[in-house]
Amino acid sequence: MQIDFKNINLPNPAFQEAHGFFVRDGKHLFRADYLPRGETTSCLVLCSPFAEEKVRTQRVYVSLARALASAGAAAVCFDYYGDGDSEGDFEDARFKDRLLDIKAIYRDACEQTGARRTGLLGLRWGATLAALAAEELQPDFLVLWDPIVDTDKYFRDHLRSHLASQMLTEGKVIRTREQLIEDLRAGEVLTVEGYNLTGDFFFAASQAGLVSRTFARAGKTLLMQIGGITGRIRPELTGLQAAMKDCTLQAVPREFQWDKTEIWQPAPPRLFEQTLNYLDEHGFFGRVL
Amino acid sequence: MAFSEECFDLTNRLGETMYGIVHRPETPNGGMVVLFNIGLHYRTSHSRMFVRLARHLRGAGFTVARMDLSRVGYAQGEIRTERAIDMYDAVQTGLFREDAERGLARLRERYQPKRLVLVGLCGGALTATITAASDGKADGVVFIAGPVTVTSAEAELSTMHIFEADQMLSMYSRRVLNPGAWLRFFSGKSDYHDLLGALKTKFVDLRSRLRPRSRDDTPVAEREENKGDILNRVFLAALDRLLNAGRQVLFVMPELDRATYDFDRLYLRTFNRRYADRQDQHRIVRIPKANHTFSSIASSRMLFETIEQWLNERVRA
Repeated sequence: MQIDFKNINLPNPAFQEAHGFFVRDGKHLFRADYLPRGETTSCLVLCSPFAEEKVRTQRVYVSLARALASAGAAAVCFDYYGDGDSEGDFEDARFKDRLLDIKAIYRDACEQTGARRTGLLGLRWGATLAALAAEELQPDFLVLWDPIVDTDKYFRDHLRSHLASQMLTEGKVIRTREQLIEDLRAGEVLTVEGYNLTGDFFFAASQAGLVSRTFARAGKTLLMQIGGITGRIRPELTGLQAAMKDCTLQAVPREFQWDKTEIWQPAPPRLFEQTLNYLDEHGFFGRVL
Repeated sequence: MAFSEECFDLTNRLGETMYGIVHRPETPNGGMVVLFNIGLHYRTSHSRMFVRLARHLRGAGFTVARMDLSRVGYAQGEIRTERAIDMYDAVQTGLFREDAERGLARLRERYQPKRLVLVGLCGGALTATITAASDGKADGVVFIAGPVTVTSAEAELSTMHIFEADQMLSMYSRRVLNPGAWLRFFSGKSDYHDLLGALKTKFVDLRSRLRPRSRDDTPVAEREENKGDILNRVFLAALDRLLNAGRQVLFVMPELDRATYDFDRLYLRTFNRRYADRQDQHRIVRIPKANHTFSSIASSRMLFETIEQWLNERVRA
């Protein structure tokens, strides 16, 4: 597909942007819809990653939504309950709220756009959630950008930030990672990178990984490894590919960051190009190739 | 409390759409607060600090707006750079001023506040100050952890900041009697690169302190290569205009932050001399054990309460 990613965020009369709040079970969820003018037959819902990774990659999502809309597909960015611009505090949201949010937004987006070809896309933990939600939603397309496969390890590693904060403010580690996990188990709320984590959320999210999971969904899946040596695929991703039906595994170099913000790359060209080409080649945009 | 947040949008001179959220209070007190983003980040700020701050102030009766100015967050427009750090100087000297002015004009027209205060964190503190000065109608500014110096991207990337060097050396010194730490050090597990960088920074700092000081704060040509030590003149000029126009300014500085370190080391002397006769117009509040993004709950709560108290005392309608 020929899309000018360097100028993807400039005003484009080919589509319109609508911001608002969607109500799910009385909870106001922020959403931004990118809607091609005229008829659209395809729609992709974008699932955000976790905590600060979401903040650091928000512009990548917006850019992708604009790229999709410029190619004729509707795209929806949204914030989970208790996250981003949505209602609630971070600690108010249970793990299952994340999945309920995805399902509600997806169903509404499909209904509103009347799309015949639909999909979910996520980055990191957003990809993990998208894969879990897809089992029930059965979207035609699932795009997983560097998903967190081992969520137990991911959330345990996340607690490292708490240790670093202890070093900064107290000069030493007062509570080890194991003690922090015990604190969570005992019902304490833990603040990590400014986000309040409850034990309920932490343990449920940790346990809902993609390792050794069986997937029944029938649609197409694009699994992207981001970073590392592109010729060498991480075993966890090959394992995930094997567990999914009709799953294509590709690799791209890491063009943007989710762990820091030194690089300004709101529209990573290789990642976008491979993603859009995959969708196009498999008929997502409804074009006859 | 009922959910009362609504989206708004406007376009800038280039036709780029900018998006924001307004938090409307149940019982408005006539005051409006506009929050400006940290650097190139979007309107929620780190750990949703701006969302939480907006909801806190909304609870106190203020109408609060958060918005993405063009080229960041949800807004349209492109920044032509590959490294975020290359934009810091531009942000800190008014990159977003014109868009911010447009935003203020729209918000004034729509909500007709009796009092208006601009709040910003880091680069957003500079946007708030510079915009308030040029706009001329804002009643005050809350300057949170803003850098008061101009930046050299190359120096930033190649040299450890003295604040960070102090932090690192302090951490090592606390472990000097810890055998495990020495074992890690001699078994190659310590970060020698960072340790050497910290020692180098301390040495250079010590040497510069032993040199005779310039009596004038004006940047001189021979100091240009070390931009990190030069005060931001655009900011100084904006602050002059604000204080001369009788506006109120609150500085909130986190204890564990290099911005505060530079504020104290490079700026406080100038500030105290320039504005000694305007004590009733400015206040400096330090938040203990707070980092740059106030990521502990205690520090962000103290930040929110400090701002609310100041707004009620100094600028409430």
